[in-house]
Amino acid sequence: MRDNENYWNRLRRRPVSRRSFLVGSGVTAAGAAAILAGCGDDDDDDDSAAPAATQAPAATQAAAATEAAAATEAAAAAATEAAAATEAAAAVEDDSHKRGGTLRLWKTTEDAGMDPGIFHVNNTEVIYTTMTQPYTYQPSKNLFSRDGMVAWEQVDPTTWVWSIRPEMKFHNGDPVNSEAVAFSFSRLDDLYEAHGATHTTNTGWLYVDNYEATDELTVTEHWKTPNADAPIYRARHYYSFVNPRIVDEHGESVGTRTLPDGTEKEVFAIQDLPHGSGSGPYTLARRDATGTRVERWADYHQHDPADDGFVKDGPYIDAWETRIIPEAASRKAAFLAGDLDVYDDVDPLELADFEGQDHVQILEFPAGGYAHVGMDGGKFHDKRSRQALQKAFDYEGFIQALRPFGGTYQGPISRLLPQYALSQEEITSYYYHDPQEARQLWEAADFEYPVDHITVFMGAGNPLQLQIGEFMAQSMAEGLGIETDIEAVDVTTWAARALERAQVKDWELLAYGLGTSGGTTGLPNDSNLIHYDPRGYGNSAFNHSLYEDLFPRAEIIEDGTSLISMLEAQEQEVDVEARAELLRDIQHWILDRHWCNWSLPPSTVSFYGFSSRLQDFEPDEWLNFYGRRRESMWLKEDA
Amino acid sequence: MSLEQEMALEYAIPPRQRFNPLRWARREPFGAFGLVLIILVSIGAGAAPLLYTTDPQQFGAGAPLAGPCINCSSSDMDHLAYREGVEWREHRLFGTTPRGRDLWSRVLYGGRVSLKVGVATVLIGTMAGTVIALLAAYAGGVVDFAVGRLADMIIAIPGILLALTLHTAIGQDLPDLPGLSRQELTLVLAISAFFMPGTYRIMRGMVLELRESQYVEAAQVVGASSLRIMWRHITPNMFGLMIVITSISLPAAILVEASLSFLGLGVEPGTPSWGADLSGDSQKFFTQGWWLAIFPGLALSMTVFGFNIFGDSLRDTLDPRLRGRI
Repeated sequence: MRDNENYWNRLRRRPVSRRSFLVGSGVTAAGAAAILAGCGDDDDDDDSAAPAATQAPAATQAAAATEAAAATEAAAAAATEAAAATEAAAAVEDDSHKRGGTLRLWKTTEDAGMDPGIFHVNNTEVIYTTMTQPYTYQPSKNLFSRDGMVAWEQVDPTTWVWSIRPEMKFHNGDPVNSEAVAFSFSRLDDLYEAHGATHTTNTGWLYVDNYEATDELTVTEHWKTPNADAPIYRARHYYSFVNPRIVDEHGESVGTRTLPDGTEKEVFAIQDLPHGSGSGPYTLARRDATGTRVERWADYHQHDPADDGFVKDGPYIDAWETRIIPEAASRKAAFLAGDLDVYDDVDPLELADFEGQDHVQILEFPAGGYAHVGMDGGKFHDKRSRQALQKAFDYEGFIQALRPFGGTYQGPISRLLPQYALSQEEITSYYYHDPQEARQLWEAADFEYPVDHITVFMGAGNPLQLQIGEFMAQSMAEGLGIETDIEAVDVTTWAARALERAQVKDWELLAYGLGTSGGTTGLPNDSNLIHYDPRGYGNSAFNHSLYEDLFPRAEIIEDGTSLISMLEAQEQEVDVEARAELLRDIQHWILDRHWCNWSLPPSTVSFYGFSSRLQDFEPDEWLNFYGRRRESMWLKEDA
Repeated sequence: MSLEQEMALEYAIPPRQRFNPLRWARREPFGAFGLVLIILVSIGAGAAPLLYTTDPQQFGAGAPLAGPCINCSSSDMDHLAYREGVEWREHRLFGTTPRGRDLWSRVLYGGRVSLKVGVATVLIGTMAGTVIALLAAYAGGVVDFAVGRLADMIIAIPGILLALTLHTAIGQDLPDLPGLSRQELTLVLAISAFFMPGTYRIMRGMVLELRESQYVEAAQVVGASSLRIMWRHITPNMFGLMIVITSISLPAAILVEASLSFLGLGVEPGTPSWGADLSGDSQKFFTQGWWLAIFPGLALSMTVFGFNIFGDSLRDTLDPRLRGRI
């Protein structure tokens, strides 16, 4: 009787039981795992050819670009020459095979707004394609190409005259004239004043006193001071021409600004980009939780003659579609499947995945990105505490662990601007790992708010960002013997808490930036310096409340004021040599004071993926956004 | 044989058989196999400080993205030729992560988080669900109705969404406890809230059944207080079902913990966790490093599978009426 009760007898009587199901599932899962394991690659394969498989680097010519940044007249002349050459070429070329297709891009999250005058991430593709800027600038060629403006002239160090392209229209048929352009430019300052400290590119227009509509197609700018960066800054998307009627009719209030006469002026923004806002080659066809799509606008003005990057009859590509793909592995899969045309920021360790893929091309660039750590000025107001933090960090260990193809020390200005950047020797004289010295400095430092715990605060989403934060926390724990933790939150929460106006932040260190992207616009501000600028990211990362009336700290106001005056002086210096000297002094000033932020070593090289069908896209410019305004790009459908 | 002797023989309580593990294993071989898996995983997690090879959180402990290998040397690392002259560890049982972390050590330590959170969650969820069910169902009336509808409302919210919301809502305000970090405590509470209504609903049915049983009525007749009846007469009869619920909920709790960690809402970044190790780099580099997903995935699957089949056998053993039903 007992024998009949054993398991196998019961199993025979019960062909399908929950347990059988579980066992079957388990065996199947194990089998699947084994098959997957068998199919996977292993480290016996020869991957050493991976770097060689990438195409030759297209060296960034940032130096040349920056040297000539202030030489506006020369740039204008170059644009004219390029226009003549392009005109001749265009006359003979049959370009019908280049027309059509949809460019497919990705972004991680939805944009938070589309007003070109307000800084937001994840909106540049739409703004660059639906709006018209004065011109575009290609750093690698040091070339300005005319777009909304057909000519410009700096008549004296503080007067700039624009000539608007005739017969341009906004998408709703309104004319693009000098009134509209003057309105578009002057509203930047309004938005900045009304919208608060979130706009960090304000140095791009703060030197301007006023904009004057001289006649129907001429705008004259009067500056308070000369500005060396002005020519390049004017190629940026916030200099877009915005339709005043649309802002008036559809704009949403973003606050008020106080005018010099004491009156309050209400300021409006077009965050939803209503139809008719812009005059660019495309119109916004879709913007939702899945992404955006812009489509060709039939009445787009002609570029005749067309400068480099433009085509007489408008862009070759019919539409741009940007999908929201938050997750890195999905983006990679989509790119490898041929569903995306651009795959930014390829990790060096994944290069092998792209080998033998004819439909993609991986290009190598010198990395120009940044990985920063902001220090809460409320707690680290004493220079010795900031110095201790920087000496506790294990720079070589960081490079070894997180920069698989090497890392380079970075000072306040990127090495991609060699005429301004400090040498590696100079930087490492400040940035070196010495835990003993770090602890001595920490002990000696004055802490108004005791720091017995360090929280490294960062945005979640990118594994490398988390790993940078982890390494920072480990380094601080080991170097200072202090308890640390990491807090990773969604990017919106991260930004809100980073910018929170408080005497002390609820974090100690703010980690941001991966240090793996490439390229430079040629401007010092774009190439890291803005992160130390009290008017820019340096403000928010350090604790901007301390400069302001809310929670003023005398020593920080004093240092911040000194730095701002130095930064303004270099911005006004149009002589390249003299400016380089000023910039070097500023960098030493920053490093001597261990001011506000510090730069972790970025990667030495960066890799970008493009589909083989994308033609004439000027890879260097893609790294700086400017390429996204390139209308001569086209899609080779049989590639 | 006298009538008394016959009656004594017929109604005599048979001597309790001593539990024989081998006999149980023969009767329930898959349950025994599940128990072995659980024991193995528990030993791995418990003895992680003895079994690990390098600090699981240490960056660059080994070559980046190196496959599993025993007695391997730096010459095996062709894809890292740019780092010539750098010697790496010789044993990488489960390979390394893209940032050179030892996966064997991470899998061992990851088991600690899964088991700790799983067990704590089930204890809190099951016990709280049982106590609420006992009080509400015994009291009956409005209390039972109100608690029942509240449970219905909670059950109507998708489980992961509930856990995500609670995790976000309470995560900032909790303290670190001995043996349970703030993040782990957040996970425990969030997942417990997910399991509590289900436990309540099952246990309520049991209490309603027991409340009407003859021995409870007898206790009421002799004047036993409600608390005494609940504590002495009903609760002991619920233990069997509690154990079954616990054994079934535990693997589910481990999976929810892994899911939340996979979504980046689990333990602190960098802390070894099977769920977290299955996301991020594991996905991005899977084609080059199959081991990144396979080993944490296998550990998770083995644990859940082990608890499932062990729980199933336990259910059979404790409640023979349910045998064979899916």
